[in-house]
This record gives sequence, structure tokens and C-alpha cells, in this order.
Amino acid sequence: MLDLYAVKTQIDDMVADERRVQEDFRAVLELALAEYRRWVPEWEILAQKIDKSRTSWLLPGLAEGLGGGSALPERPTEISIAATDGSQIFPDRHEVSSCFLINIGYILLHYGTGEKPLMNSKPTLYYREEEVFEEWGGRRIFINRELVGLKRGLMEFTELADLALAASAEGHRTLALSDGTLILWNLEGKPQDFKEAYLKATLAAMEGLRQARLPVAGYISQPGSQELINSLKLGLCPLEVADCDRCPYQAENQLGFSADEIGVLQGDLWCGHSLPCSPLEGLNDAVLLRQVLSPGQRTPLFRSSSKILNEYGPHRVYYFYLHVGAEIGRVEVPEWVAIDPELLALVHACLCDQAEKGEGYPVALSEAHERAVVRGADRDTFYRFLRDTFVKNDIQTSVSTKSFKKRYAGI
Amino acid sequence: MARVDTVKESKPGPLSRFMPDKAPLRDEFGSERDYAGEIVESSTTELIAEARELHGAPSFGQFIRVEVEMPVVGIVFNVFTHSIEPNRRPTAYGKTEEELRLEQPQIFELLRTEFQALVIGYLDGGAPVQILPPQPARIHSFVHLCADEEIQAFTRTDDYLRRILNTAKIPTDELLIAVLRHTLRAHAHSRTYLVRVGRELSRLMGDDYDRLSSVIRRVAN
Amino acid sequence: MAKRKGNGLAAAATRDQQIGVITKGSLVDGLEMKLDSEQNVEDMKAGKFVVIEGDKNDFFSMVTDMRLDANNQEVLLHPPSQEDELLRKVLAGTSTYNIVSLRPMLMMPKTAGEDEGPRPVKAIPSHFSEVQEAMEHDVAKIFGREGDPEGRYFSIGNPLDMDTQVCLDMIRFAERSNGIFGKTGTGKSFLTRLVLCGLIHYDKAVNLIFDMHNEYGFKAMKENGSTSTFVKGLKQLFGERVAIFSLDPQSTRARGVQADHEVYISYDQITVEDIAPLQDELKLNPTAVESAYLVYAIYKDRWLRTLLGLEGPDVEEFAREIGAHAGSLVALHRKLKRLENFPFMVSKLTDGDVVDRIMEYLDKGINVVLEFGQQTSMLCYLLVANIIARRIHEMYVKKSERFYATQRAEDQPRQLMITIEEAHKFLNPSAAKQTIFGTIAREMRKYYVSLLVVDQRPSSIDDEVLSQIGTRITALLNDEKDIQAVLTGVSGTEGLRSVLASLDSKQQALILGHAVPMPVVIKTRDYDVQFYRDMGCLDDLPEKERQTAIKKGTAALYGDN
Repeated sequence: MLDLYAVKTQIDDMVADERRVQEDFRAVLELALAEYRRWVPEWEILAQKIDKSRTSWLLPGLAEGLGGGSALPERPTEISIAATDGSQIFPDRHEVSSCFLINIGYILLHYGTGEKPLMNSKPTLYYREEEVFEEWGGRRIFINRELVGLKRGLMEFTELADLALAASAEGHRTLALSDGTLILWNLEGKPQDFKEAYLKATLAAMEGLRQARLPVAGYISQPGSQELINSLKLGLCPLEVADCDRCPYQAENQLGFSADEIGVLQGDLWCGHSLPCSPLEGLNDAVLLRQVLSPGQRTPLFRSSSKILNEYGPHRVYYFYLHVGAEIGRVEVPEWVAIDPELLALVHACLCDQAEKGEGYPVALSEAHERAVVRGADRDTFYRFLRDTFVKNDIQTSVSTKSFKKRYAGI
Repeated sequence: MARVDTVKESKPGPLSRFMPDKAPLRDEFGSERDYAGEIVESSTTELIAEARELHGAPSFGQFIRVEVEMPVVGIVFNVFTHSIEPNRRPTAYGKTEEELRLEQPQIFELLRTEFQALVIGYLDGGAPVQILPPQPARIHSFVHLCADEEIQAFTRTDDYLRRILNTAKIPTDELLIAVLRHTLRAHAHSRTYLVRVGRELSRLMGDDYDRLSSVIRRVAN
Repeated sequence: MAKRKGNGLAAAATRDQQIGVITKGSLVDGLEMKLDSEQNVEDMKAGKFVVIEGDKNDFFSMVTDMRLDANNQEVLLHPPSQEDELLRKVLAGTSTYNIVSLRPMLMMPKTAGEDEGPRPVKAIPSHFSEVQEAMEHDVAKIFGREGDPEGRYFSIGNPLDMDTQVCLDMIRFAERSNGIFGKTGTGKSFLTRLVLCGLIHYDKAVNLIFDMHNEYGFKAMKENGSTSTFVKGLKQLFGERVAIFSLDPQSTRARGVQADHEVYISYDQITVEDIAPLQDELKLNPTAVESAYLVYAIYKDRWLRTLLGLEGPDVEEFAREIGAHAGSLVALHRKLKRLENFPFMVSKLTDGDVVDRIMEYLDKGINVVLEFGQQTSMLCYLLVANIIARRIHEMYVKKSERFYATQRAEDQPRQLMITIEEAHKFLNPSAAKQTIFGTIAREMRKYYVSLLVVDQRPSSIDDEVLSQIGTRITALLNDEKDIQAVLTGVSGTEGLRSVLASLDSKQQALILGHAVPMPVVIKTRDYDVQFYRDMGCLDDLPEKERQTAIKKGTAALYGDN
């Protein structure tokens, strides 16, 4: 039996704590805002510091400086938005077959013409031996969830590029929208040959778009990224040139300081924070920018400094934040879009429009998701169908010769 | 407006790879294929068909014929447009349909118009039989509108009226009126026909004189 | 649709005018038909002739009644408005419907051959048997068709709403006494003239007509709304086959006719029996008649002459002499004095006995019309008709008895039919026992004399006499007693009663009895130029042809001598 009285006191405590946290958070936000405003006129100084410093966190390249938002450009009346999304049924060793399935949803919405939109999905079943076993870095591995996820991500993007190109070929002025980041950071740490293969495919698709001058953008909803905050943190760093590896304020680096000194420093200078950059801890870019941007406005362009982008060539990713009304979203574009004002304005305008139509989230992306999604019930149906078909065709033996151990409940 | 209304039948092009597989079927027959819908649910007594186009269902009370070996004849008693995804309900946008067609084209893809028909008989070698068919129409069969001549041929006798009157959970009288307005047109607004049908209804409705007179009045004007 | 065996009969012609189906009924009470909703109930006149097509038989029937009905009281409480014609049409035949009562009169097996006639109804058709409008061949099958070799069938009119003949079987008609009834102004004399024409034309009986109102002999008024026209009389139609006797030659001449004979009656020709039926007219009491017999007992034939020869005061004396009651004899004397006022009463006949002359004509087959001219009093009519008829009857009795004795064909008397008007005066229950007409009616055909009774009050006629009347031709009657009287001795009278009461007042009649196989309502035959010609009146033919035809006709009538 639940002792509600006991719970009540704890709830009271929790509320008190929450209020304290919120008060603290407001203080941090005020600080960040003050810092941001401080740097707007002096952004070049900060930019130089960014260029010189070596931090443990990602810093943005201030491609357009800092400062207030750019106003919302007008969307062309006739524009088509291409979007894809994917979902999958992961391989299940306990099922009758270790196949897996990737379902890609395609959306091509034509605005301003009344033309019938394309809204479709296509599943692909992978079952051949060479499909379920891959050899990377000299090791042959049975495909796993991570690999399927990567494969799906790659497909989403290459299919998006194909869709946009096809639409363009049929005379539609098209913008390609990708769900999520364009930065394949998750390839880092993968075997070299694997990484190269995936990058190559992605960049080939990107190149196709670039040559057709078809803008592509990745939209990240509710971004948790803190690159801008990081730059402000850098601004807080008392050092001329920050080098986190050698941070003099880190306990393990306090070679030349006494414990007392550290105590004084911490207590007086940084208001009880452990490091000079600590006060902005826990804040992300979106929270800050909500105070800065008006609906429809975007931030200046930032250059991403992810390491993988070094291999992107002309497709290095830039990003900006966009106040779409309901939220601050992060929009990533390749360099050739970033430096093309017309394309950039198109991305800006279309994404705001899309988010408005989608009540906060770009409608093409949410429709793509609706097409792509494989729900639990679908998955169960898929396997039931698979089993039935196997049984009907009496091919259990041929499956067992593949030395897959199957354990499935008899039906 | 014209641009909004015409749904272009796209020719196979670069985009065709992304189109639904059934799309080529429609291309193959083009607009010659003038079916009104396709059966998605079928039973001996009723059937549900998806209209070929959104809001393109036959009208209430219309006679339809299902192209199968023994064509099933029915009358439309319910038309409904709904979201194809159970967890997504249409919401109000405060825009005209034209504005929506231009700026929210996707919502029309998420809507389906379906119609329900009451099976009232079938054709046996072309001869109308006002008895439920031995086998229901097959799923995915095409549903056609009956031409006036077909309606006239089928309604040479009035036994189907009893079927309408005896079916529960349909708006019986309204359906009756709608059906009779169709058949009356098929019979060239013949007074003799109207009187004949009226008498049959009078027999079927027995004591319910108010109901009879209300139905007759509304059919005739 | 009639399903008939195709054996090439005339009857194989199908009927296709379905008017309803049989829903209930009984042999005794008649059948009920639900009228088809397309039919208008107003077309279902009482007396209409229809055919019920049973499985094995056709039932020839008459419409006797109709009824409006509804299966739902609601409809009757809230009738559709006058403008809502559609709803009224819809309700007709379903919620509201019409029931027509039918009386099957005859039945005929569907397999019957040409020569088989219809039979009395002994069965009823099954449920939902179709009822059809009768066709011409149905009517012909029952009533025959004019122009048969025997000259048996005489068309008297058409069934209601049909254009085909209804024929009287004249042989059967002449065999029995017959009646023509109908209230004043319904065309009794017209019907009578028609029937007489039939009898004369087909020569089925020789007629003696007591023509009270001078309607039959020569020219007659045809009442035709406000205008009146003259139509041809029997003399004009049949020429020498008709002789006109007149009680009032002056009057007859005044109408432009020369009577063949003037009629005079001597006092010696009047018997007490002739006086007895005049009790009512003369307001005689029974003792007066007894006194007359006393006079007769002494003076025989001269009884009346003797009685009337007395002057007032002598009568009482005379009574004492013969032992009669003085008061009654005085009364008798006073009343019989009225006879002296009749111009035709003579004390001595100069030109022989008129009855012998009439008999002479009748023997030759010449029909006699006795016109009364201005002598239209009932007393005169009764007296004269009685005297003459009694004497004629006596002669016929003798002739018949001779024929029964010799059994020679040439001795067979001609069938005689005596036409009397205002017949109830002769045939009321008291008079019928005293007049010769009561005797004739009761004797039936034994002595080759029968009556054609024309009357407007059949209820006043003695039941016994009525029951002997073979064929009744009845125009409209209103009085319930009269209707009942006419239908005396007919089964299934319930239906016919309504039919009778609903006849048109002109040119319609119900015929039932001996000369027709079944009762039938007719629209009477037009008495026009076409009819004259059908009756052999050749006035319109070119002179030469006319002469030839007349010669031929005369030869046939009189024989070669």
C-alpha cells in the first residue's frame, strides 16, 4: 500500500528542488544571453579565438559572424518538396529467417500547382547470404542492428537524392529534405573500408544534387547541440588561447596551483563553479536562440567542425538555427548551398513553410515518416506471413542447411 | 480552379519508380476505364467499395453493378470520406479546398471516399433477378454505375423494394426516396410507373399511411 | 388472359379486358370481386355483364353491387387532399379498393362444343379467378344471334356498355304469358311495341292488342325530352298483317287512319261475368252482382237489355218480381246505366259480331289492334277487353279441343297473345278470379292463348298470376313492393333487386325468365329507320322492288289460294 503521506513530503521536496533548478537555469540563461550580446559586435575576436583554440567540444565556424536573425525570405509559389524517411525490421535470429527489411517512405509535395502529390513507400527485403553477411575490415560479420540502421540511413539519403533528381527531371523546382543530420559522425570509428564505402555513396548522391543545383537540407528537430554555447564558453575562458587538454583549471592539470589557490579561484572568481567555462554548462543552442530569434528568423551560418567533414570535400556541412514558430530547429546544408544565397533563401523559406504546415515539424518529413514507419503490428504480420509462406512451400530444410539456428514457437 | 481539379495522369517518367505499383494499371486503361470504385469489402448482403477518386462516389440511392460473372446489382446507401490512417484525424484548416489543394496537397492523399451499397439482386445471363446473388461480389472487382436503361430493365418489377424496407440500420425512407427518384428518371418520369411503385409501397407499408404519403410526396416532387 | 382449348370455336377468341379477380363468395349469396386498381369503379354499372374465367368453366355473371373499402382506418380519417391526385391513385387498389358483387347466372364448360349451351350455375369459380368483360361471342353464345333459320332470336337491345345483341328466344317467349313492367314514363309501351314487332315479324304468335292509348296501331308519339316525334306503328310496319279495329272511329280517323273495322257491342253480348270484374270501377257490392245473376237466370242473353230498359221507379217492382233485393238491384241498375253512354254500345248489331270478325283475322294470322280512341276510361277498357277476350278465349278453347281430338296439324290453332295494359285492373287478386285474363294466365299454353301483360304496378297483380308469367321485361321500378313482385319466383333476387332499382329511366330494362337463359340488363334497341327495315318495312325501297317484296310476302302469308 502506498503511503501517500510519505509521498507527499517527497513531492514537496521535489517541487522545491525543481524551483531551485529553474531559478538556477534562468540565471545561466541570463548569463549566456549577456555573453552572446557581448560578442555580437566583437565576433571577429571570438572567431579568431575559436580558430586558435583547441577545445574538447565542437566549436562553430562563424561563417557569417554572430548577431540577430535574418528575416524570412518569401517562398516561391511553385515549389516541390522531396523527402524520404526509412524504417526497418531488424534481423531476428530467432525467427524463421534472418532476413531484414528496409522500408523507405517517399514524399514529393507540389505546392502552388494543385498537382497530385507522390506519397508512397517501398519495402526491400534483404535475405541473400551476401546481404546478411558483410565483410568489413577483414572480418565477416552477421549483419546487426547498427549496420542495418546505417544501411537504412544511407538509403534514405541516396533515395532522397534520386527522388529530387527525378522530380527535377520532370520539371519540378525541387528542394530535398532529409530527416536529421547530414553529418555522418557515426561512421567515425568504423573500419576504414566501411567508412569509405558509405561516405562515397553519400557524397556521390550529394554531388548529383550539386550538379543539378538541387538544394538539400537536413532538418534536426529539438536539437541538443551546444556549439554556439561552446563558443560562448570559450569566450568565458580567461586564457588567450584555450587548450582544454591543458586546462589549468582542471584538477588534474593544476600542477602549478595549490589546493587553497584553487579553492579561492573557484570560490571567488567563478562563483563556486569548478571551471571558468562551467557557468554555461547544461545549456544548449536552441534554448539560447529562442531568446534571440523571432519566428521565421534564422541565425547566421555556422560551419560545422565535425572531423568527418574533412572528407566531405565540396560538401562540407554548414548549419543555422531557425525559429519555425513552434521550436528552434537546426538546418544543415552542404557548402554549395550555404554559399548560394538563392538556394539558402529557398531552404530558409521552405523549411519555415513546411514547419508551419506541419504544425511545428516539416510536413514532408512527417509524411515521409508516416509512410516509412513499420509498426509492431506490421512486424508481427510480416513474420506471420513469412512463416506461413515457408510452411506452405515446405522449404524448412533449405533454410536449415544455411546453418541458421532457428527457434521459433510452433504454430 | 481548373488546374486544381484536373488530376494529371502522369506518363511513365523518372518519377514512376517511386510511384505505387498499381499506378501503371490505371495508365494502361487510361480514362476509358470508367469504373466508379473498387470493392474492398464484400458480403452477400452489402458491399463497400473505394471510390476511384476522392469525393467521386456514386450518389446516394444510385444503382451500381459489379462486373463479375453474374453481375451483382446494388444501391448506394452510404458514402463516407475518412482518413486512411486510423490514428490521424482530419482537422480544420480554415482554408478553402482550392487553397488546401495548392498548399496542403498531402491531406487529400490521406483521405479516401468509400461507399456502401445494399445488394438487391444480380443479373443472370443479363436477366435481372431480384434475389440476393448466390455468391458475393469479389474483393477488388470494379463497381460501375448503372445506366438508365439498365435501371429500367432491373426495375421492371418492384420486389427489391421489400429488401430496402426490411433492411435494418439504413436510412430506409431516405434511401427509398433517393432510389425511386433514380428509377423514376430511368422510367422517363412515367406517371404509370410512379403509381405502380406507390401501390407496391402501399402494400409493403401496410398500416403506415403517414409514412407512405410522405415518401410518395417526396419522390414525386 | 383466357386459356382456351383451341378447338376452333368462335369462343376461342380470347377476352383481354380483365377487370378484377374473385376474392370470396358463395353459390347462394353470389361472389365478390376485387376490382383491379386500373379500373374505374364508376364503369362497373349494376347489371353489367361479365365473365368469370374459372379453371374449368366460364361463369356468365351480372354486376349487382359495388362497395368502396379501405384496409386502413387512418386513410379514411385523413383522406388525401383533392390536389394530391398521385396519392389517391396510389392508394386505389391497395389501401383503398373496390369490391364488386357478382351474381353468376350461367356456367359453361370451357370444353363445351359449339352446340352445347350454357347451364345453370351449380359451382363457383376458385379463388382469384379472373373476371373479364364479356365479349360479343359470350353474349351470342348465351342469347343467340338474330338471323337464325328458325327465326327464333329477336334482338331486343344491347348489354350495358356493349355493342352486341341480346336476343329473346321468341318461340319460348310465345309459349308463356309475359309481362312488361316499369313505372310511368320508363318506356313500357316502347318495349311492348318492340316485342310485338318481334312476334309479328318472326310470326311466332298472332296478337290481339287492346290498345288503350292508341299507341300501337298507327303512329305513336315518341317522347324525346321536350320534343316529340312520331314513330311508325305496327300497321305502318307490317301493312296487311295488321288490322286496326276501332271503338271510336271518329277519333281514329282524326288521327289520319282508316280503321279496318269499327267495333260495336250489343247489350246482348255482355254477360254477368263481364260485369263482375267491373265491381271496383262501378263500385258494385257483391249482392248487386248476385242480383244481376238473378236477372240473367230469367232473361238470359237479354238480361242487360231488359234491365236497362226499365225506368227508375220500375226497378223496385222488377226486383220484387224476380225476388231480388230491391236496394242492390236499384244500385246495379243505376250504375249499369253508365254503359248506355258508350257510343259503341248498340242495341242491335248491323255489321255482324265483331268478335267473329276478329277471330276471322286472327285465324288468318292477321294481328288485331283494338284502338279505344277517346274511350279511355278504365271502365270502358275493362269492359270491352273482357267481353272480347272472353269470347275469343271460348273460341280458342273449342279450336284447341278439336285439335286435341283430331290431332291434325291443320287444326292446330295459331298461338295467340293478348296484350293488355293496366293489367293489374284485370289481374288483381280479386279480379283475377273473375276475369277471363286470370283464367288465361293460369291455363298457360293449354289453349294456345297467352298474355302480354303491361303494367306499372306489378305488386297489385295476383301472386298466382305473376308466378305464371314466363318472361319479365322490366324497366325502372322504384317501389319496393313492385320490385319484389317482379322478382317473385326468381332465385338470387338480392342482387337483381339493386340492379332493378338502379336502371336508367329510359331505354334500359332488365329481362329475366323463360325467353332468356339468364337475367340481363339491356339498353333497348333503337326504334328507328334501321329497325323498320329490319322488320321488313320497305317504304324506303325503290317502288319496283317494294312491290315484288310485298307480293312475295303476301303469298307466303296467305298461301297460294
